[in-house]
Amino acid sequence: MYRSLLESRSLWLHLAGKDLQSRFRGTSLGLVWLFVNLIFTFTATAFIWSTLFKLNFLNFLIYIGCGFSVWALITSITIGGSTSILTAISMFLNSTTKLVIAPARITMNAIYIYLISMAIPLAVAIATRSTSALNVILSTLGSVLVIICLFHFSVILAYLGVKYKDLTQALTVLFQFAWVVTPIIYKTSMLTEHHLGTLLDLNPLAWFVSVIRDPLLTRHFDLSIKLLYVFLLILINATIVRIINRKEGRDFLLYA
Amino acid sequence: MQLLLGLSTEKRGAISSSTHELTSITLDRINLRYPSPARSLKATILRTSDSRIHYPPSLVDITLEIERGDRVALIGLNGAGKTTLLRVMAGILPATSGLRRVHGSIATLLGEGVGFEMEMSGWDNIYSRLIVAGLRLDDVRSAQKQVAEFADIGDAIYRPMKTYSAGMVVRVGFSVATQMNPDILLIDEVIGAGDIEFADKATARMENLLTSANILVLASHNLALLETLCNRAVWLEDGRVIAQGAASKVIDTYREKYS
Repeated sequence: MYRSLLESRSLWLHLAGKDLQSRFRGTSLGLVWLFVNLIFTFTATAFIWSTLFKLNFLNFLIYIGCGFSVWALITSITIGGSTSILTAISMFLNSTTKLVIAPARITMNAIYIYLISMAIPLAVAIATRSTSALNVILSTLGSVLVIICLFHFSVILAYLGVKYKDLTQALTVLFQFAWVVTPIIYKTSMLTEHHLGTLLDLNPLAWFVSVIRDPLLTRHFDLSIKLLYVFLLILINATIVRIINRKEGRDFLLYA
Repeated sequence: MQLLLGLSTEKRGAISSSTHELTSITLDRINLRYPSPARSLKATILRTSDSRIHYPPSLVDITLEIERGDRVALIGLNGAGKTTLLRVMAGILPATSGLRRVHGSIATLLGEGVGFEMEMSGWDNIYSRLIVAGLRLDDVRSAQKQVAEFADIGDAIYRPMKTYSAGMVVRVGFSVATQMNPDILLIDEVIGAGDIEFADKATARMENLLTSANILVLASHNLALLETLCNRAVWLEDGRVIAQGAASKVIDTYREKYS
């Protein structure tokens, strides 16, 4: 799979870029709309919620900006990944294009949006000195590991999504629930104070958010155990991808 | 839109000038069956016995040996399995069982407009298709220009393909699909292309492709054209090979049955 990915990188990079362009085709501001949208969303949400919960506005802007960015990354790659092969089925049924191109394209598209979106909380974190250079590197490492983990997961979902058409629907329901139990917009302490800490410990999405966001909210360098959890998840997902590829490969197209 | 090409009869059975000595397609007892769709919750709860759709096999015990120089016509009614067989030959679909062995580079013309990203421009689609066809990045840009010139739709090439007419899609699709010179060419129901103005260019290009390809497998309902182009024919019915042999013989038998 990795060799196919490398050999076809010009194709999925090209397609991901064009997908992003086509979203804003015909508009005057183009990609700037994405940035404007994010600035307004983050600022407005941070202002209202920090006022309501009596929190520091800038600190909460970083918190919520990171939270939204990572959540959008997770849902784009997973839910988008589950339908990626089906969406491009015409291409796969008329050429020998490798199936991995579909989730790779979705992932790359999500990365482009993630980079733009994370620039805002990152810029605020650096400007307000709420983080250190070392912690920015740590947060970046967290982002890289999370993306690799999510990519492997999206490959699994892409294949399964062809065979099991209910998958995307089930994922949508699951993520509605996951949104509530993942501390995206509320403080982590709100769960632990109400004896719901187990939800944090067992929720991989909470780990993803944590390894990226937490380093940006402190100057104290702390290598979180959650980085190891994410790394282990990568190994598990990569193993499952290998098994699926070897066992079924292009057979999934028969279910389309 | 299909036009009868004025191809000369000398082309039938022509040997390619390609140096790929081992070009061949071997299919040994190939079977393909699409899996049945999942039973709905309603059917499961109500236990309705005939609610499960069972697809009949698409290909059954197909054995073919196609060698360098062969021009093979695939004939059969709609739903006989011609497109599925071409996809198995191309390696697009895996067979459920049996052996497939192909030597040589393959290009497919399975329909001019299929597989395009309609939100993207013709120019960008050409780029994608050339990459998929295996062209190196260095060669893609020059090939992209050649394809756009051949398609000859002017500045529309930079517009999203969803704005194109059917004829324009045909022009772009044909131009991309025939850009490469493969050892093996698999064509499905597509010979003519676009309008009269484009037809002359398309005819010349097809003639060039047919002489340079080592193997041609052509599925079509145009029996006269198949008799002109092909030296062998394979008649498919319900996924099975009913007859195969000299093109004129098989096509005559097929014509007798359905005329």
